Amino acid sequence: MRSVFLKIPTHWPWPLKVLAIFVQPVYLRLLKLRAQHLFHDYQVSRIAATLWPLCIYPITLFLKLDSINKSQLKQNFYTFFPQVKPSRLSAFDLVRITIQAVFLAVWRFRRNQSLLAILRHQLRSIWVSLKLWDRSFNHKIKNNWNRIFQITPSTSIGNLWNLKGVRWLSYLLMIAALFLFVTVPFSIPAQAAFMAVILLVAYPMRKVQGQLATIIMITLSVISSSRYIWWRFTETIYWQDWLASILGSALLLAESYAWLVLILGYFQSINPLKRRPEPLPENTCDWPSVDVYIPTYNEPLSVVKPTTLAALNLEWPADKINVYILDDGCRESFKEFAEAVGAGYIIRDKHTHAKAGNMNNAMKYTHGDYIAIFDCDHIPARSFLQLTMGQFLKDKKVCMVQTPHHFFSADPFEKNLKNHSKIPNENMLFYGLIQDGNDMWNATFFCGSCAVLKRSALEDIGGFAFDTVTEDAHTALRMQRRGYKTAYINIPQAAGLATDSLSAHVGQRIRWARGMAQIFRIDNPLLGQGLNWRQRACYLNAMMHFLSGIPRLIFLTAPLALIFFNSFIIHAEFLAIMLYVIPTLLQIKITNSRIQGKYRYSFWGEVYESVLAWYILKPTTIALINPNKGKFNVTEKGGLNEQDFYDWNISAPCLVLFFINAFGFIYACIRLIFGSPEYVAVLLISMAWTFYNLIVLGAAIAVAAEAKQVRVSHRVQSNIPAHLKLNSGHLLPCVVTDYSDKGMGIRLNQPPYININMQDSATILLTHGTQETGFPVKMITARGNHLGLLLQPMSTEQQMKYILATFSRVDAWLDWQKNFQQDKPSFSFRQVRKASWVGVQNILLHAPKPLQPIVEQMTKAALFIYSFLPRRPTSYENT
Amino acid sequence: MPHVFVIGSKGGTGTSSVAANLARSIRLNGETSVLIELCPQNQLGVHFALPWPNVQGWAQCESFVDLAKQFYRTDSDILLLPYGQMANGITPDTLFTHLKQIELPENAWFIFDCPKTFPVFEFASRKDFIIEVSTCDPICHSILYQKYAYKNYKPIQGHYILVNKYNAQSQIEAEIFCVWQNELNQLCPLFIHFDEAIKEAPGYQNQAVQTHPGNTCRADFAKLSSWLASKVSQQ
Repeated sequence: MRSVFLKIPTHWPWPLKVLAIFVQPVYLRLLKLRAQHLFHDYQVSRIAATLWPLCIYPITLFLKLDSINKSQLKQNFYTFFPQVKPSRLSAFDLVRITIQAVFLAVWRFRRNQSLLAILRHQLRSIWVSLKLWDRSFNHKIKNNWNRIFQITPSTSIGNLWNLKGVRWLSYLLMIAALFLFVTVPFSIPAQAAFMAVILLVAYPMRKVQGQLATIIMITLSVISSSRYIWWRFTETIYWQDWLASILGSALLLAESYAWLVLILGYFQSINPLKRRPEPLPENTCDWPSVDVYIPTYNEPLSVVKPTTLAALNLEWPADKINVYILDDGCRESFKEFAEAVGAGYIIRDKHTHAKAGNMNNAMKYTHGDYIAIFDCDHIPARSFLQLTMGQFLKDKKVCMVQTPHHFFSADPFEKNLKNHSKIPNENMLFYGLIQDGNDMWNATFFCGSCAVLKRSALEDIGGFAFDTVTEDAHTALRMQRRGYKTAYINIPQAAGLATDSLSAHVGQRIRWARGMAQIFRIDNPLLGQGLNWRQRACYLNAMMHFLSGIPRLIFLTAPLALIFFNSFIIHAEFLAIMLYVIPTLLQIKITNSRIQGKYRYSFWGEVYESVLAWYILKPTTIALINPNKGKFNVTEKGGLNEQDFYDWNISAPCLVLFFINAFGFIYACIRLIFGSPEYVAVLLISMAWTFYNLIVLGAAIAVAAEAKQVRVSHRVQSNIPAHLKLNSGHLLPCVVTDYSDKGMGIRLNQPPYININMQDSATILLTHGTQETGFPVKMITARGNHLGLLLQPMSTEQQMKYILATFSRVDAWLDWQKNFQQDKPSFSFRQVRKASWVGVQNILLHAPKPLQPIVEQMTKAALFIYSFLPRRPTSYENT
Repeated sequence: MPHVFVIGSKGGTGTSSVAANLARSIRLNGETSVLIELCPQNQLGVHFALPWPNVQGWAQCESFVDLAKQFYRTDSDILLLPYGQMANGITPDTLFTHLKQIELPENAWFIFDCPKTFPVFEFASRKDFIIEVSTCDPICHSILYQKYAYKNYKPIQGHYILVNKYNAQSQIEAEIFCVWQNELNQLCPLFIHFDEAIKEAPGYQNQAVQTHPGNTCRADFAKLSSWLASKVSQQ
């Protein structure tokens, strides 16, 4: 009968029994269960677990809990209190709930009715309508353009043009007209109207097909940018004090440099030649003999091996081709390898003049009519000679044919920013556009590899030039002075390894920059005999490119002059600056975006330059003063990198610039609020410029975070049909998705229904030309239809065939340029902005050890404070 | 539609397998195929799960009315005419005249599995195909060279040499194949890989293209049938 007393269970401990006299045992049990549940499942402290459910009881005074759908209630609670996380309950949640409750009670929500949302919506709709208008406008222009400008070449004009007098007269007229456009001073409204007209013509032109539209855009851009420079020189150089005059003249200098490079760049790329390969004679007896040089110094045999094997397989009459390894390292293993595969092996006693000296030495021992040169990591496609040699036979004056350098591994920019094959890399502008443009003016440069040279022309100039550290460009220059022609074929016929770290990359660029500056001093292309003015202009631009260090640094710091020192470095009215600068910049961007389109996306050039600016500053300056200083440094390739790390050394200049700019930006904000109102406009424009610099520098910083590189050999993405032969004799069709000289990844066309055991050996059948060869492999990994294979030891002949079937396939590198879309500036800017944000995060993530706890604590504190702020219920945000 | 005669350069080159798989491959493309065995060994039925021992066949029937009853329709909807037991039946000559008389599906591919001694050039018209199945071995090389490699040899239209059971790992096969590619004008531009599946399939009384759809043999025969179809459309 005792158990019935007040319904108190007998097995309860006595404190509970006592309590049960005052509170109904049903509620006590509920409390107990709740507390246990909270304690065990949510890992709340014991006190909190006891106190939390107690809150329920006062609530029951107002609400009838039985009639409420509990799961619904729970869900609603978390939507209205998004800062309370069911997985992480804490005592502070009470404060958070209170704040949020007050916020919810006071603030009125309607869907999408917050100010920000309205603003965003409005901006979005404006943007969309602008885009639509832009599209229809472009469409109309395009249609009309095709209708109106169907230009048929007229022979009478052509004949007239051939007269020298007519030609010079028209040149003169053009220059006079240009001079007039550039120099006439305009009032501000007149300038506004002028730029509006120019933009109005240039803007719709950007989507019109054809070279004529490009030329018109370039002309307009030349006019407006020249006009800008003229204006800067004639009207804006009345500086107030000595500081402003120093800073102002520096900026003016940088701008003049940029203008010169722009004009030369336009000239260079106004009409790329896009040369096609020439057919060879039917009879192979008429084909000339070729020596293939593979110079090497300290690279491992594993790098040189594929190149040599591929070179031995070049399709050319066997009695007319000889392959030589030029080993400046004099290594015994190389000698053995060369003998085993049937390649020549040439070494020398005195290792003077680096690569050029090495090749000059080899020329003493070989006797072919032509010399093909491959850097030891550039694996040639077997069609290389057949595609290039035709040029020599067609025109006897051709002394060099260059093909692009293509890299199958990611360069440091691509690797560290993780945009390999998404954004054209740094090289693409040069090999995709500039060399083709140079070719138009017979000014193709020799790039040291993937090229064929004529022996007699080389002998004519006394062998490869060795006075500078860029022997290649200098050799081509010397040959051109003798009246030889150079050619460029924009079909990738060899592929190699890119530099694998930012520091190596910078080192390579330093060498190029130094070499170019040396040529500028020793054998200035502007002076001397044998070149025409077009070639001089192309060479000048190549040299100028490497002098970009100082101007870039000036552009990255110029807006700070006003922010920190309040010095007006451009002496002009605010409105005039706006009217001259913004439309001109806009037009330059549009024009460059059209010309460089597939080869360089907008804004990336600034990022590349910013990384290098500081580093090429010193070598170029030194080389300009004393050209004989500095030695040849070999670019390291094929390196490993076991973990992610941040290269603080290499990014130091960018970091300093970044922090100066960031500080400037904050200082400008303070001045904006507390300073005198007359500076607001100029401050705002300086801040915009600083902000842009911050974005560019952020991206430059992001590159220094070295991503890890664990694979010894780089995998090349591919799409080659193949067959996998299992040990059981079954043959499965597949596609090789990636390969290297060590292994490959394949995708079976159908899910394997036959048992495939890992670690089993198998054979992969690959075709090269019309032949099929089997290569022994071991199956390592499987994921769905994808298998990872490891190549097993092969005979030399098999290795050769493997290279033929993979790296040196004719079509191996053909699609490298086609994968890229035409540039879209807004998209490209977004990419730079993203990279920049990653860069900022990287600094925090890779902060030096002593600073790391501080960064960590600050992040934690920020997150903690943020968690108290009231916010919109989550469901509203989603809708 | 044209007739396709499949004949071996020598015995054991896999003629029946090629005929059976080709017929099935054509069927898989959605076209009809009629497969006729001219080989007295009478084993083509094994590929199509015919009753064993097989008592039907054209060689034992006497009139074309009788002949129409000798066809099997397989599950895959291929019409199959086996050789049957040789009794006192009709000769191949009469068979071809009878075939024209009886009602067979229109636009069907006729595939003949011929013994190596069958005088195929007498029966083939200008529009027909003769697929001579060879393997890359020295015997076949010798046979083919004695037959076709003379300078004054005139290739016959529609006659092609198909390399079967090609094994790229074998050095002799790779070398012979390379020579053929350069010197034999009648060589098919495609070849059939050696595949265990082709060996296994008759064990299931089926064709390899059906039993092993993930194998290379299916792709190879698909290529062969579409190549034939393209040749027909060129005519």
